[in-house]
Amino acid sequence: MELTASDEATRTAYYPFSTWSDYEGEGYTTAQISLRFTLLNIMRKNAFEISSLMSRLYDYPPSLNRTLILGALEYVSLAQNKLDKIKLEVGKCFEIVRLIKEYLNMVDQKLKTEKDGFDSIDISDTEDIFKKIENICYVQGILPRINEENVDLSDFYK
Amino acid sequence: MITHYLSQFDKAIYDTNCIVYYRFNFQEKYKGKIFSIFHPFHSKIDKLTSKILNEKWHIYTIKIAWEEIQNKGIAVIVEDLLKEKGLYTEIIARRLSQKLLNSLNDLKSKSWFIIEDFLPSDDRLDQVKQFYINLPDSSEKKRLIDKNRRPFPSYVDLSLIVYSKKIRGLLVSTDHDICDFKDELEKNNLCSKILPLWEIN
Repeated sequence: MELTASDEATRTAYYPFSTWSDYEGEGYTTAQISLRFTLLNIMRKNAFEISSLMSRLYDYPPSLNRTLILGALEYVSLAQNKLDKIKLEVGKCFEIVRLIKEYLNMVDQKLKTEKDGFDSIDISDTEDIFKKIENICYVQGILPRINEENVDLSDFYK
Repeated sequence: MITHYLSQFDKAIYDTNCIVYYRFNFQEKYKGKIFSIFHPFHSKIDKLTSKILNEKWHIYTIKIAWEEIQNKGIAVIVEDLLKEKGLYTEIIARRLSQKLLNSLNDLKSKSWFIIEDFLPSDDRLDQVKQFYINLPDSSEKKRLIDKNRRPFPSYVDLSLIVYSKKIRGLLVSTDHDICDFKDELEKNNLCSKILPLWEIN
């Protein structure tokens, strides 16, 4: 389901809820509720894909590419979990989960095409997408950037 | 120990691990507290490097070793150390690996650090391979075979051995595939002098 900027009511709504009962008495429209469930559905699929990719990656010998992608996967997993906890415009949530989905698809393609030489393949395209995710998460106060100087490591796991 | 070697040479060759250990020393913050994270060999290689640089030596490595560090070495050492210290998470491993990569790129820019595009000739390579193949059975040789699944070290290690002889530099290593056979390699004139890093006090 596409979210349009003209749908003001939807765009400015927040996403802190995950079950039908959470919406009762909150004055949400059916369209708003439906959007939230669409979002949840993408997040669930993403979560499944993250876990599957991580377990596939652990079958590869250690390499810088593997470390970078595993770190990014943990990051996007934590970012999705944070969306459950903080109030964020549903439009922003969609932007983030769609970028995560795009990132996961790219990683999946890399793993499918590079079964043996994973340590030497170019992952700059997946890194570019990940940087976009990191940037939004940073701007929206969801998570710090992994490379940020003086970051408190515990901030990732709050 | 170091002084003894300093009088004999004017250049050093660092193997892949030594280069990573030299640069593996970072400060991080956790729950508001600053802590240091460094490799246990860091202080030894740091001490050696300071002495070497005071003597105006250059430190060398070869391109294939440098590529191995970037593709594999960083990840292996970061992962092993974090797991050993109970600090491993995928995010922390990524963060430290990138810090290490940046630090190594900085090292690459130093005038005293030289990466040479060296590949050994087939003859030299075969000579060192044959040496290893002909070694008598021992616990060290068994470890070598178990690790490499063949009776000689990796191509990068063999190349470093040949390279050390070519440029007559002190080969500094923590690799058992090299250090365990130091005396025999030296006696057979297959390398220059080998300094196992753990021997530095």
